[in-house]
This record gives sequence, structure tokens and C-alpha cells, in this order.
Amino acid sequence: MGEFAKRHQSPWPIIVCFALNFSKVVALLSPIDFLFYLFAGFTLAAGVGVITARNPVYSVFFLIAAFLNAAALFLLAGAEFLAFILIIVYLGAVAVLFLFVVMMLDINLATVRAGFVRYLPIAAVVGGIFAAQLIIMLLIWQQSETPPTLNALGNSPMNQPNNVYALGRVLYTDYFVAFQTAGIILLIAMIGAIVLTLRPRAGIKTQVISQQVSRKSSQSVRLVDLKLGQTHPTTAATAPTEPQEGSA
Amino acid sequence: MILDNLGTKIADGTLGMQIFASGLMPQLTLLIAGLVLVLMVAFDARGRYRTICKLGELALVASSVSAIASLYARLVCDTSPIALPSGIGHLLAVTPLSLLLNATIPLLSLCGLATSARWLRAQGLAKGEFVLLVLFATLGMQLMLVSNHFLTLYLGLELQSLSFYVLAAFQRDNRQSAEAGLKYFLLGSVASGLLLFGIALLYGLTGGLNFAEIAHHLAGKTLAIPEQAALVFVLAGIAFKLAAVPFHLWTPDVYEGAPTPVTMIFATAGKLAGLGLFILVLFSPLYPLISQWQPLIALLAIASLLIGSLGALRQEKLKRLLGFSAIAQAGYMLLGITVGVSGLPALLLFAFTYVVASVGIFTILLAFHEKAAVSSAASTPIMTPLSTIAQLRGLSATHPAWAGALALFIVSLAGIPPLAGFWGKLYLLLAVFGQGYVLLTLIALLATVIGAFYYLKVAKAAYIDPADYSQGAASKNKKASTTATASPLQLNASLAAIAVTLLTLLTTVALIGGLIPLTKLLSRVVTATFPTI
Repeated sequence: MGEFAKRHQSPWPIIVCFALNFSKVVALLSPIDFLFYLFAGFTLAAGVGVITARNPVYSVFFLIAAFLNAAALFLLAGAEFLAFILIIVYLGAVAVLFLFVVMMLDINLATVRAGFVRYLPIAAVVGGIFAAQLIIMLLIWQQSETPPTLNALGNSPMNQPNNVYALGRVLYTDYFVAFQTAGIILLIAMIGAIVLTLRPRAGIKTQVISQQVSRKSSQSVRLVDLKLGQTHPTTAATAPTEPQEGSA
Repeated sequence: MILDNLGTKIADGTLGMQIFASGLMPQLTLLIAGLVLVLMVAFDARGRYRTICKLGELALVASSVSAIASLYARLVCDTSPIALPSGIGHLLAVTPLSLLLNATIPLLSLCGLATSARWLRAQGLAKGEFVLLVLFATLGMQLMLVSNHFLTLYLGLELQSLSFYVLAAFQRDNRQSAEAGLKYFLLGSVASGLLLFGIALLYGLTGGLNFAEIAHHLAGKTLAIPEQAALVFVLAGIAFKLAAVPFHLWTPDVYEGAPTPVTMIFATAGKLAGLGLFILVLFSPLYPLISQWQPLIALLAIASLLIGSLGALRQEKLKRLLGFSAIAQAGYMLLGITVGVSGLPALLLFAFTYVVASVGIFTILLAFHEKAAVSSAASTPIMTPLSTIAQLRGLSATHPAWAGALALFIVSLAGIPPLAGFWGKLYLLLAVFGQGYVLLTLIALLATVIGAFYYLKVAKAAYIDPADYSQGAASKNKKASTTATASPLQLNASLAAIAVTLLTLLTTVALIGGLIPLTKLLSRVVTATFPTI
């Protein structure tokens, strides 16, 4: 993105050219710029998909696609740490969580869309403000002559191999007290969740490994002599029973 | 670096000396004890509450003692503080004031833990996690108070708040407690968000989060809207923690709904930590903006004084009343901040008398249970904790010693002459008046008069109102019909509760004699903390 921005003051000519003559523009682009437009286009398309898909599960999959493409954009911009975090946190945790919720709750889209018309004016106002802000930003946007880099962070030397290294170095030296405190906060969050939700319940079937291991064939397998075509009266009654407790 | 030649330093003991001299021993003690106790609770879930509680108390005492030792070394022996290694010194700074507060806060948490064991067991809440949460909340408060950087300040605050949210909801089968936890969590998160936004604005304005950096950058600037916005957001975030109006709405509900020992910790340790947070933020990074924040704080103080006092008038529930009283006390504390550094010793004296009296009142609340009227099916009688003022009726006849102690604490809170609370309030108002804030002083006096009314209502219930015999008669199939149990209250105090009550009583009375050395100590701490201001 940086390289692209240095060459073109504003992205609008490019977008217009896209509309006019796709193949010529593609030929003009450097590979990096081509990749940027590719992933940006996919991100946009996936974003549209998120809000238009009828099935919420498809929406979540579109969301995952959008995250992946955004991660690729971060990689292109040289922010590989953000790309990794996006994949690990948003794909690995958030999106999967969404998927769980969507599948478990069985959300009825009709009820979700019931208030659509009623809230449309408010949504339009809020959306309009956001859109106006974006347009204003785009119009007054200028590329800085000396773009700030991640290497300006802290006291890390300028020739860092990459920003994961730079961030890690700062995090584990200058800010290690803060980092450890954040860890304790997560510990407290875990303890709190356990305190508030874990309760001993009666009548839950749990796996007892010692019972499983100490089980012998003499207790669980019974050999029965059967003639062809004949059903044993007791087997017929007991065969489809559920497995005994502790035998799973 | 502190970690160079680690082996030799451990061997000849210089590492221990360095850590001790750094003044971070209180936090380290709590951190290590907390982590060890996490393992103990994890591997030994049931039945060892007593051991875990005792170990937690021990850690709190050790933390307080090490803070006192560091403070002693700093003030009396005049050892100059060793320079912390850059990675730590950038984030943390140990001042005499933080040491003083860090010595007091663990003791208040300790009172909460020690007096609550029997109460918790009666409620079926005696779980090791309670001790853990109290320890980590204390650690959060201590970290917050030694911070020198908005990052550590925010993280310490969050550590404290998160533990507090869980503690408020600790009695999860009780609807009120769950509601209190949820309410506290939602409002507290919003307040944290505001604070964080203010911090982000400050970062954008100054390019740093270190307190010295921010103060340096703000000092030379002409103040415009962004600076004021940052100031307002930061103030809103920290005013929530101190329960100052208009960020007080959570206080009565949370105080009432949370389990009583937890409320005790909120009202004492949490209050002191909130005050410390205010002093830290306003007198260190935001001090260049003093002309901007002084009127704001004065407004907050007036609103808190009036709304806290007026709101408390109609309360029938004891914990709710104490919640509103906490709002009014926040108003007094903010008055002291308005005055500036010269008001800080009086402010600290006032805060100490307030927390001591609060500890006493909450201990007495915890010591009594109302005997359940019905529930004959249960083998053990269900104890409902003391909640309304009306339940105190006739206490002076059945438990004269406890009633006397309660009356003393109440009178001290109300600020009636010979007791400690009076001197705290007097010094504070004199400091405010001395700076020429006549209107503020008058409003504070008005609030004191209103306060005396609702505080004395509690004492009146215990001493003058006749006992309500109809309630006691309801449980006559037990041995209740004997004369001594005419009051529906039953004493259920542990040894620790008695000890804490005695100690706080002693402090309340002894403060009259020790007033002058204490104020000297406090002003010394303040001048050592803010030498340049």
C-alpha cells in the first residue's frame, strides 16, 4: 500500500480507470499493487456477502473470508504481526465463537429483520455520518513525506529484521511489568468465570477412567449359543440396552 | 539491570536488598502469595478454606509490613530511593504517599477477610477463590498507586475492578448479588472505556504515557479543546471509581447487593484506592492543568456532598445508607483535592478516620444475623444478614457493648466533637476555608448537618427505639421466648470480628491523642511525595 500511495496521490484515478479499461490497468500495476487490489476487492466482496447472505452460517463464512483477506492486506503493508494476530485471534477465536453461537442459537432471520424498516432512519443517519467522514478523509488525505515506521517504537534499533521482533523486544523488556499485569488480569478473568459459573450438579454422567480400566470381559461379555434363525429370549430383550455407566 | 549477575546477587543477598529498597516488596509479596494460593485452590478445591484464608491474611500482613518498612526507611532513615532499572522505572515509581496507602490498603482488605470467614461459611460461600480475588484486587490497587505510566495505572485499575466485579456477584444464587455484579460490571466497563479514551487523547496530544512526559508536554501548551476533552474523560473514569456524583449511580445498588464483607472492602480499601488514584492522576501528569480541573473537582464535590447527604436521608436499608454516605464522603475527599497540595494532609487524615469508622460499622454488621422466623424444615437455622435499620432496635438492651461500639463509630462518621471523625472533618474544612473557598465550606457544613441526622438515626434505632417484639415472638417454638432474645438479632461474631472492632475502637479513640504526630507524619509524606509542587 505504501508503494502504491507514493506513486499516486489519490486512488480515484485508478478506480475510474478500472471501470474504463480493466486489462490495460492490470498491465500498468506492479505485482504488489495488483495483489493489493485483488485482496481489497475480495475483502469488499466478502463484506458485502456478510450483510447480504440469507443464512447466518454463510455470513460467518464470509466474515472469515474478509478477515483472511484483510490479513493479506496487512502482510502487503509490512505489518506481519497484525496479520498474524488477525488470523489467530479473529479467525481462530472470534469467528469460531460466532459460528458456535450461530449454530447453537438457531437464529431466526425473520425476527432479526423485523425491525429493519423501523430503525432504517437512525441507521441511515449513522451510516451517513460514517460515510461522510470517510469521504472527507479521502479528499483531504495526503501521503506524508516521511512515513512513521514501527521501528520508531521505544529504544529498539532501526535495523530490526521485522516488526514481530521489534514488538516482542519492547514488550518483554521495557513493558514487561505491564505485560505481566495483563497476564494476571487474564488469570482473574478465568478465576472469575469459574467462580461464577462452575457449580457441582447431581446426576451428571461423567467418565470414570478407573472403572473403565478395571472392567473385565467376564463382567461385560456373555456368550450365548444360538441356532440359526432363532432369537434368544433374554438377548432380544437386553441387546439394545444402553451401555452401562462407565463403559463409554 | 537488576537481573545482571543474578546468581551472585542472590547468593550474597544484594538482590533481596535491592528489591526491598525498590519499595516494590508489597506488590511482589502479594503477587507470589496470590499465585501460590491459585495453585492451592486449584488442586485442593474443597474444605481447606480456613488454611487458604489464613495464608491470604498472612500475605496481606506481610505486604503491609514491608510497605511500612520501606516508608520508615524512606522517611526516618532518609535513605534515598534506589533508581529502578529503566524498564521498571519508566512504568512504576514508588513515592512515600504510595507506600503509605499501600501499607493501609492491605490492612483494610485483611479486616474484610478476617471478619468475613464465619459469615461466608454461614452463607455457603467459603470458597478459596474469595481469598484469591481479594488478594488480586489488593494487588491491583497497589500497582495502580505505584504507577508512573498510564499503561500500568490502567492495568492496575482493571485488575482491581475485575476482581471487584466478580466479588460483587460472588453470592451468585442471590438475585441481588448477581444484579449488583452485573450492574457494577457494565457501568464500570463504560467508566474504564471513558478513562481509556481520555488516556488515548492524552497520548495523541503529548506522544507519551509516562507521567513526567505528559506533565512536561502539557506544561508549555496553551490549553485548547482537545486537552480539556482528555481531562474530562480521564476525570469521568476515575470519578466513577471514587463514586463521585454524577458517576455515583452504581454505588447504592452495588453496596446493597454485594455480600457484606465485599461491601466492606469496596467501602474502605476501594475508597482509599480511589482517592489515591485521584491524587496520583491530578497531582502528577495533569498538574499543569490545575486551573482547569479545580473548578470541575469543586463541582463534583458539591454535587456529591448534596446528593449523597440528601439521598441517604430516606434510606431504611443499612448498606444502602452506607452507600449514600460513601458518596457524601467522596464529596469531602474531592473538597480536599480542590484545595491543592496544601490540603492533602488534612484530606488523608479525613480519609483514614472515615475508613476506620467504616471498618468498625461493617464488622458489626457482619457480627449479627437475623434469626430466621420460619424454615423449620432446615436442620440448621437459616441466617439472614442484618440489613435494615429497624432490625437494630433494642440492640442496646441485648448487646450493650456492641451497641456502644456501633454508636461510637456512627458518631465518629457523623463528625461529632471528641471523636476522630470530627478532627478529620475539622482539619479538612479548615484547609478548605483557609484557601478562601467560603462557599464550599458552607456547603460542606450543610452536608455535615444533614449527615448527622441520618447517621444518628442509626444510633437512635439501637438506643432509643423500643425493640420490636412481634418479630421475636414469631420464632417462639425455638428457645426464643426467653427474655434475652427479644431482639431478632443474634450475635454471630468470630474472634477476629471482636478483635477488629476493638482495634478500630481503639484507633477511633486514640486518634484524639495521636492527632498531632499523625498530621505531622501525613504532611511529611505529602511534602516528600510532591517536593516540587
